Amino acid sequence: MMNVEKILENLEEFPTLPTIYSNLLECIANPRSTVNDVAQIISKDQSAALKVLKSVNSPLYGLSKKVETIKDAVFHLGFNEIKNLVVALSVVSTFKNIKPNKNFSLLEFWKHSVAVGVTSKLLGIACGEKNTENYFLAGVIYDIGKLFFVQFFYEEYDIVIEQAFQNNVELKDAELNYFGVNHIQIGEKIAVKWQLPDVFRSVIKNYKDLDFTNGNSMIITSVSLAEYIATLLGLGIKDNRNLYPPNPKIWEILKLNKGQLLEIYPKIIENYNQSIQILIVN
Amino acid sequence: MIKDIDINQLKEGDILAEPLYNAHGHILLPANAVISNNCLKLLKTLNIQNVTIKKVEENNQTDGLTEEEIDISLNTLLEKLSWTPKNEYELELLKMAAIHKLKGDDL
Repeated sequence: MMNVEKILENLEEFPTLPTIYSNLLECIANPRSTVNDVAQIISKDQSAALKVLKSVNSPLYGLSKKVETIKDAVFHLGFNEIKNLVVALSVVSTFKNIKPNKNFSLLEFWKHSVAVGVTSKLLGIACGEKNTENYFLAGVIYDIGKLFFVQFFYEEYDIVIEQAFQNNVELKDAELNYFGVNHIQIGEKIAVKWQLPDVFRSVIKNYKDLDFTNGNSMIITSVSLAEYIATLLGLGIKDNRNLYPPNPKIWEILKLNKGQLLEIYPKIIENYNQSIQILIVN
Repeated sequence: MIKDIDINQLKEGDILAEPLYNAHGHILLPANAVISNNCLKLLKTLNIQNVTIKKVEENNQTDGLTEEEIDISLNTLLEKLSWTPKNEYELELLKMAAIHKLKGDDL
């Protein structure tokens, strides 16, 4: 096993989010900030501004009329949701140029993560959650720890993925066995490094085991089911050979009505296709 | 698809397939009216028993697919799995996958 402390030293070098994010954080933390102030920060980054406008007008945000300006986008979505959207856009573009790997496709990784983000939010809405502002981002970054291994342990990670697949063990366990730390633990550290609110760390840590010791049961469970659905449908990652039945706790928490999952399906596909066009293709 | 349903099954967002008349033959709601929450309350107050609606959502999900096609796709999927669905939710998930396989609309 490798030296965990040495491995974790690489976190220092792991990319930070672009300045637009730190500027937004600072602005939103100031109680005197207005919609105009937040809009100005986003407008300065033309590429982000364009993507924000496209995203806000996608059906995922359910706005009744087309939003034409960043100011309107901030007004309709609110500070936190707009900040989360900027983080999602930033994360995808920050890691666009990572080296491709035999057993790991960055494109498929992001497509899968975006599918999880979209589906988490749709599930939150379907379950009657009033505040779903964190759901999309939580889905987009739930597996972010994997990028740490791809970035710093490119060759070793390829072997670990291959071994996990051949021995039919979960990737997180194969990682733990080889590196002494897995992508879930690394993902938590990245969430802290990026100063994301604690709910995101909680989702990364608990979406697989559905541990609700620290609350957040709805968002954790939504991401968990979203991940299951994205894998089942082959959105991004195409391999569902080892698909086990979903954790039965999911149904107890979400309390979905009969037929609701099938009703969400076309919305998942519509929003997934639109979101990957905005976040990944362009 | 048009479907006759009991007033208790009617929900917000459903679309009327035919005009709805009261006992005197006056139109209460025209065809294609979208049922709002207020409509629902009104229809129950007026003691309306049945309405005919368009099953829009179902059409969206299974667009152009027959039940038979979906069943065949579902059975193929079930054969590949090492487990069988134990509840309605699991069955719905697998049906979703079966429909997705037929539509093949992943980018």
